[in-house]
Amino acid sequence: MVLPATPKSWYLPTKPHKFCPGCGHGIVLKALGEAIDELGIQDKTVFGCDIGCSLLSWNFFACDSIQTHHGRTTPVMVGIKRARPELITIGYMGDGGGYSIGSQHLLNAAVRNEKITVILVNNTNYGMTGGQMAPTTLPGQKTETTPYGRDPEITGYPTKGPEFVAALTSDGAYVARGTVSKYKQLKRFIKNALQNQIEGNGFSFVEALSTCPTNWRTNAQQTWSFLEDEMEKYFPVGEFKSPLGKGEK
Amino acid sequence: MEKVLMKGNEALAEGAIRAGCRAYFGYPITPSSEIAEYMARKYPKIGGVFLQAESELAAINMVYGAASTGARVMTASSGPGISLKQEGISFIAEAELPCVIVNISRGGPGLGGIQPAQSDYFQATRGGGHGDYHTMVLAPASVQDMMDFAMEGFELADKYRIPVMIMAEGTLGQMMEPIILRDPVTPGYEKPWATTGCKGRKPNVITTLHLPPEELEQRNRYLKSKYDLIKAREKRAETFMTEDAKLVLVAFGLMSRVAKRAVMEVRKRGIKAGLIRPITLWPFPDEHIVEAAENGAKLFLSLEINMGQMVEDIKLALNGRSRVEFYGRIGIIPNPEEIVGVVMQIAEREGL
Ligand SMILES: Cc1ncc(C[n+]2csc(CCOP(=O)(O)OP(=O)(O)O)c2C)c(N)n1
Ligand code: SF4
Repeated sequence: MVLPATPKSWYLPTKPHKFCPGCGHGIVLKALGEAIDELGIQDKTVFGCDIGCSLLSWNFFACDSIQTHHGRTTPVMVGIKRARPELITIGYMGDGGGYSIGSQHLLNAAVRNEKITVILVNNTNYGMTGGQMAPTTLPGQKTETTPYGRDPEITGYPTKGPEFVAALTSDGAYVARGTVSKYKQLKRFIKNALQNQIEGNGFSFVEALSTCPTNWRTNAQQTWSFLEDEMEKYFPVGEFKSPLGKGEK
Repeated sequence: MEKVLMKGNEALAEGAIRAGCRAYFGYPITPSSEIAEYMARKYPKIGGVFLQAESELAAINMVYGAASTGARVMTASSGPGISLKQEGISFIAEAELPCVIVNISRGGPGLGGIQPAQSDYFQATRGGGHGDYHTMVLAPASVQDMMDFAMEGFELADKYRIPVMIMAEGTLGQMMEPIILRDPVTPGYEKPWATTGCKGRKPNVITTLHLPPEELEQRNRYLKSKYDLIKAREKRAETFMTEDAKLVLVAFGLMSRVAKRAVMEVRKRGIKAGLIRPITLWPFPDEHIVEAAENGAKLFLSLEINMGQMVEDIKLALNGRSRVEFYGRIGIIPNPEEIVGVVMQIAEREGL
C-alpha cells in the first residue's frame, strides 16, 4: 500500500488524527504542514490552537505548540510575537472562536496589523459542541439551535470574515478565503499568509471553507455539494488583499 | 543610600523593570493606569514591549503568550478588570506560566467606586477563576513595598512557575513616599519548557487539556503538591508586639500601618495589644496567628477595608482556639484614632 505522504512538520505519534471521517480540518492542517515544510520554518514556528475541533490539533505538529482558550488564540499569538518577533506564530481557530467569542481580538489584531498569521476554519457551525449555530451558519440552514433554519431577522446574516478583516487592515495585510475543495489554491493562500509574516508586512488571515459531515448529517456526496454549491456561493473564494503581488481571484 | 520620592504605581512599575520585566499588556482603569503609562514612557527607550490591549481579556491572554516564551511579563488592572482576567489566570495557573498580575484595588461589587478597598480578598486568595488552583498573593503596605514586591513577585513566579498577584489598595498606588531604588537584577531562571521554536531540541507543548480522568486527577494532585510546598516555605507576615498581647489586630496593606499606630497608642494606655500583618495573603500566614494565640492572645480583631473577608482565614488558622471579631470600612481608610476607639471599647468590655 502506498501511504499518502505526510508533511515533515506533522507530529507522527499523534497520527492518524482524530477528526471525524470527511472532516475538512485534516485537509487544512495538511496544507498548513506542507506550507511550513516548504518555507523551512518548522523550528521557529509556534502553533497555537483555539477550543473547538481545532483543539484536536494541540499536539498535531512537531513544532512548539500552545493550546489556548476558546476565542483567545489571537491575543496569545500576539503576546508571543510581541515578546519574540523572530518567531513565526500561527493561530488556528474555528468560526465560533474567531468571529463570535473572539471577535474583539480578531478585529483589533487586524486593526493593529499584528504580524501574526491566523487560519480560521469556517464549517458553518459549532463542531465540537455538537452542531449549534455559528456566525457563519447560512440563512435557512438547520443547526441544533436553529432547528427551523437560521432566520436572519432574528440572528442576522452570516459573518463574512475576510471581507471585514480586509476592510479593517492597512497596507501590508494579507487576506484570503480558500476552500478544502481547491486544495492547491488553499495551500498557496496559507503559504502566502506565512510568507507575509516572514516578510513582516502585516496581519495575515486565511479563512478556509471546510466540511463537518458529522453535524451537517450529510453523506460524502451531500457534504461536497453543500461545500461547493452552497458555501462557496455565499462566501467567495480568493485573495482579498495581498502585498505579495496581484490578488488572485 | 539616596532616597527618591515616588508614586506607588510608578514604584511598582519601576520595580518590574528592575526585575527584568520587558513586556507589559494592559487596559486602562482607575486607579491602576499609571502603571501602564509608566511602561508606555519607559519601554520604547529600553527595548521593552508595551501594548494597550483591546480589553483585559486580551491583555491577560497576551501575558499568557509572552510568558510562554519565557519572558518576564506583567499586567495591571483593578476590580472589574481583574474579574475579566480571571479566565486567563486559570489557564496561566494550569499551564504554570510565571507572570505578575497587579490589582490596584477599588471597592465593588459591580462598578462600585474608585476609592480604596480590599474587597477582592476572596477573589485573590481563593484562585478567582474556574478550577482548583491558587495564585500567590502579596500585599504591599508602602511605596517601598510596591517596588520590592514587584521584584520579589517575579522571583517567586519563576521559582514556582506560578502567577503572582500583587494586591494593593488604590491609595497605595496613588500616594507618594521616599524610597530606596533597588539594583536591577538579571533574571537567572532556565526555562527549558518555553515555546521559543524547537531548533535543536524536541518541540515543547503548552496545554491545559487533560481529558482522561486519571490524568486530570494526577495533574490536580501535582498542582496541590506544588501549593503545599509554597505553603510550607513562603508564608510571610510582620508581627508587632505580639509576644505578650492579649488582643491581636490583624490587618494587611495600608490598613496595617493604621493598625500599628493604634497598637502603639493603646499600649501607652496599658492595653496589651499587638499586630499581625499578613504579607502573603495566599499562602495565608496561619502559623503566625497560631503562635500569637499560644502566647496568650484571647481575641483577634480583623481590620479590613471590606466586610470581613479575612475573618475566615483567621478563624481557620485558630480552629476555635481564640475568638475573632471584625471591624471594617469600605472606600475609606479609617484613621488610627478610630481604631483606638474600637480597641478601647473591646478592651473595656473584655476587661483586658
Ligand atoms: C468560554 C467558553 N465558552 C464555551 C465553550 C464551549 N465551546 C467549546 S468549542 C465551542 C465552539 C466551537 O465552534 P468553532 O469555534 O466554530 O469550532 P469548530 O468546533 O466548529 O471547529 C464552544 C462554544 C468553551 N470551551 N469555553
Ligand atoms: S465535528 Fe465536524 S468539525 Fe469537528 S471533527 Fe467532526 S466533522 Fe470535523
